[in-house]
Amino acid sequence: MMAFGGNKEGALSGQKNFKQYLRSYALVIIFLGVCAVFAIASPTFLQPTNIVGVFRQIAINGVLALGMTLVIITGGIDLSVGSLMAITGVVSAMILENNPNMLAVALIVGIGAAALMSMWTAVLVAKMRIAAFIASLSTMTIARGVALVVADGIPHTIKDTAYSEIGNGYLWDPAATGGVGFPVLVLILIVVAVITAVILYNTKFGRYIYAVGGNENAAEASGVNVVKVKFWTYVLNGALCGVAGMMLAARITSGQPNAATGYELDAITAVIIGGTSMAGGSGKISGTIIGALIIGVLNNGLVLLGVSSYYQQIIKGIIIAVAVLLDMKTKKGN
Amino acid sequence: MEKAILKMEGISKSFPGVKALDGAAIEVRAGEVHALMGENGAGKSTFMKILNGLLEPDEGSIEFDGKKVEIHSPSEALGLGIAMIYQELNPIKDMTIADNIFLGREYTRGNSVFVDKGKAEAEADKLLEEFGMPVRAKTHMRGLSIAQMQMIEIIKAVSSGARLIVMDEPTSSLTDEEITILFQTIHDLKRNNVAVIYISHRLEEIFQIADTVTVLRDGKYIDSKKAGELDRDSLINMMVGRRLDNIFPKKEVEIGGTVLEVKHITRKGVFEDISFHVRAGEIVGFYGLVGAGRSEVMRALFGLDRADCGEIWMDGRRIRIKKPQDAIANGIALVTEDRKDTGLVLCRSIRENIALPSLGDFCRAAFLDKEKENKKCDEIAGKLTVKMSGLSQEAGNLSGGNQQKVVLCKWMMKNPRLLILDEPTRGIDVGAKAEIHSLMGDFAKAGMAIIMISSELPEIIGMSDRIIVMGEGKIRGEFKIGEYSQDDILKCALGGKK
Amino acid sequence: MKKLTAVVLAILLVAMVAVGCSGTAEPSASADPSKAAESSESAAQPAEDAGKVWKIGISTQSWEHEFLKNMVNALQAIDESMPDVELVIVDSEDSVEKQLNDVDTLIAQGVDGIILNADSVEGSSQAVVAAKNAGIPLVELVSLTENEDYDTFVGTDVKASGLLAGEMVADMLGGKGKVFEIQGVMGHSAQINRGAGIAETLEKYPDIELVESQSGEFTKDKAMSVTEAWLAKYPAGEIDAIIAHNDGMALGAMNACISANRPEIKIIGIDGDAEALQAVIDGTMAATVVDDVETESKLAVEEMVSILNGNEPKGKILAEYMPVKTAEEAKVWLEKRQ
Repeated sequence: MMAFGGNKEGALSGQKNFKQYLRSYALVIIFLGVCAVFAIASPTFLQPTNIVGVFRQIAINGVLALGMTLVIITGGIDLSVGSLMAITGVVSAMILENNPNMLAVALIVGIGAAALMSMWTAVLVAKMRIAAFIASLSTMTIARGVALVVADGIPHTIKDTAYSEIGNGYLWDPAATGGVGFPVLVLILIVVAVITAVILYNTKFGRYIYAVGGNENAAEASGVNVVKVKFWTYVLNGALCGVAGMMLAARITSGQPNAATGYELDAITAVIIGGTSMAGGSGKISGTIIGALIIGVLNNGLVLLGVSSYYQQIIKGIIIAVAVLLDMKTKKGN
Repeated sequence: MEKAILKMEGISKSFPGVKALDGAAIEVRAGEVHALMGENGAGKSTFMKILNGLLEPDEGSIEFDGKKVEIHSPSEALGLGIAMIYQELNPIKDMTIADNIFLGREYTRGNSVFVDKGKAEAEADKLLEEFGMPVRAKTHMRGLSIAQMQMIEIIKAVSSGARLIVMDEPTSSLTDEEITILFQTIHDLKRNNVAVIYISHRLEEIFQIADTVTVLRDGKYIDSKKAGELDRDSLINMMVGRRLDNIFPKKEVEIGGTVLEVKHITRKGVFEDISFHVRAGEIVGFYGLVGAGRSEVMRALFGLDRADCGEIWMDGRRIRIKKPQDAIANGIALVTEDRKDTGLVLCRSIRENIALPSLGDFCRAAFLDKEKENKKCDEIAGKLTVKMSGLSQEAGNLSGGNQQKVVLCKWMMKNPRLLILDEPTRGIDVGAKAEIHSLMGDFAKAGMAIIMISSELPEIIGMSDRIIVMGEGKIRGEFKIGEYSQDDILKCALGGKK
Repeated sequence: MKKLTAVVLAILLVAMVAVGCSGTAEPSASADPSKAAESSESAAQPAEDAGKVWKIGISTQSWEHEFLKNMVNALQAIDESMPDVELVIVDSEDSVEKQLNDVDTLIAQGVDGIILNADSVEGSSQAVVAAKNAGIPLVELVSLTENEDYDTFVGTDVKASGLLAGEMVADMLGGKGKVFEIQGVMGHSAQINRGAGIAETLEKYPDIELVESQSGEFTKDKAMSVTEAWLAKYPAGEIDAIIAHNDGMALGAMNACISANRPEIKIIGIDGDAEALQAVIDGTMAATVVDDVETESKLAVEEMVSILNGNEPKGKILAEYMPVKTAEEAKVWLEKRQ
């Protein structure tokens, strides 16, 4: 009975702040814990090139997870993100194949194509009120088919060096400076993180995203156009998938119709580890970034340790459960 | 005098930052109805959750049937013979009555895993008859009224051998007739030596049914008294620690021109040919039985539902309302019946809730001016005396009364011409109730037109300048202040049925 | 809160240690800092010291396919039998992006060379670039990349397996009969090349008719339903042999034939999966073509060591496919692969 007898009182001022502190605290503890283990186990882990490598490795999943965060905050989900990425890759690669000098056009049309395709989900979810899981499952299949049809089933190589620089280049040449470079992919992740954070925290639209996810009925009764908010959230996510698709195509220097299969799960995992509630209404950009980092560090560290890929999957699964459990506990404040 | 069946002593429980209970106690005798009273936030719910095993106390002891017990889960509580009937019922609606009654202790064929449906239904039918329920065990729960579902819960509790039943606001969504049946059932329970802990905000009920009253205030045990030794004023005094001289502080207000005029609006199967008007500074009360169509009319006025035909005029202009945005743009605000469902985004901060309809006013280009938002929200929350740790506090952590004030803040920010309040004080403690009534008076004084739906006659009579009575989707009558008695209104609401 | 955190950390640590054990049992002893430093030093001047331990990073396609698992097993055996190499084998789980990331990680770890079992002809090209930028040699194993800056490719000429399978069918049928073909995933390089090889051989035999070709998408169950449809359509005597583009599909065809009681149909697969070898021993499958991945793996590691020791890269090393027609031949391979 006295199990919680040691509960501190007096945190009366800023009860919420204390909780919030605990919340991010839990995530950071896991993150640092995982890092510490790897740092002890592998001398390579903390080397600057490896750290930069980890950031580059999370960039694509990070962008995807940021878009997914918005969707999940509205109480939805989007399973179609991997297929949307494939569309962008294929479309942009094929445009460049035929018009070698039109990189900007290729990228804009490629990202636009993903956004356009995501309107299918957006309409089904926002207007027709179909469950997001089902609606996006539909889009996932359709978009994969579209990518295969457009690409005629085969990968299209990207020969444009500027395009491949997006995926493999650095802001300054690591060889010339002798230090480590700053990958372009990481820059894109940072820009997308800042943009989504501004949208979420500093615009009316962002507030509506939280309100719709927190209580759709109350949002509607407060004059929020719920249909519009949901619609644009999915389309915005589609555009971000397009950005991620561009990043992947640049990284693998080709537009592949079967690329990014299963990426939706990694993105959702990052969002959930980051403390965003699947029920909607709460979630933070910083959480998602840490979530993506935890996944990235795990992937990197386990490879460094030479852990068999079979064990890797078991460990990742356990850490997801532990992270979410810990997060839930701290949210309850008990 | 029967001996005590339940004795809880010195119960304390803290949540981070809040001491919910501080030495709470109760002593219940077999076969008595024991009312547990206190304002919202007094700790009644926490207290009962501890009894039911949903929460563990930091300190204190529970004695049941003369033995010291520790209760770690609702199923353990049930095993001891303690059953709970919650304010919000949660039966499994797609199962039959029999399935629900025997949920968790199904009859099986011999020792097999197969359910003996026939036996369960026969037993359930027997129980239903005993309790005078005119339904069959095979009926699905979905087809029952809330009162009937509640009765099923009671049957379930009794048939599982409960000797103490806790009822939390059992009458909040019942009609008068249903309440009569419920009270009859409670009397039967008493005769069978089952004890009932009864929680309600409706003082009249307490005097009607309770034998003993225990009062909690701020998580502390205040006193236990025989119901016969108390009267309304002394009980309120025990609960709030002060005497409420006037809980309906109607203010003198000058009534101005017509703000809203509704002409012949109809929504098929819901309400029919509704016409009325509201003037500036006037409070018009809508009374009727549950299901009379009052809330539905207001939902249509606010654009949450569509009326099939009819006209709505504001300030002499005809307006069209297709969605809430239209209503808000025309200066209409609706405080809905259900705060949790349609009033607040509980998981978000007070600030975000208050600002939600007004975000457009705080935007510079596409971006929010958070400073301005903060200032305005703080101002309005201060004016309406919301008790909070700060604007960043989650709305869900507030007490019912403060949540309702936040909803009011939200709409006051828009400075509406017409404020519609649907059951504004339901489930709110006496103190906060008086504050909300006082605020309504202030709003009226400021020239706002107000519509108030309430199912509490004293409230509607105390607050309204005019009362419109609805029944079965139609307006049955209209009463001006001073031209009626309480009986007139009740009769009108009941219509030809009595 | 504190207690909980401690518990979680403890679980994490235990998990890591438990895994660390299985990790060290495997090739990488990367936890030893002196060794890592040593090998990165040596990377700077590879030509000089020949008698030392070379740390070689290997990035593979998914380990969930039997053929690739055979390759991984072979590589692990090599790691133990060759004292002068230390292999770090990483699974890309069929993701091109992960393969590129893994190669980056291996390079950061300071491996001396990389053996790449490419996920994608186009997509994995960037791994070649990464190795070149890091100044370390790269040998491709089994699958090729579009980027031809690698040092050496070790593998097979995929079309040769089709040619060989075709020859075996023609041989078994005595140059006369009705043949059916179950193809792989359409557009897959193995489907294209194996199909081309089969077609080329069979054209040489005027009395052999290739009646129908359909895709079994490299899966057993799809191949089974394709075969069932044929068995229903063509009565006994109208199907003499079925060639499948891999063993999994051949086994599917075999199951369908057994259920339909049509044992006269000869079934030929490609790859030499354990189950197919067993079927050849049991006589339920006529033959399979073994892709000798064990030899290829060994050749790849040896080639890498040779390059690291300062020898000129050979550019291309092709291994022969091995026909398995008898139970004895099958037994030899089966033992090798268990």
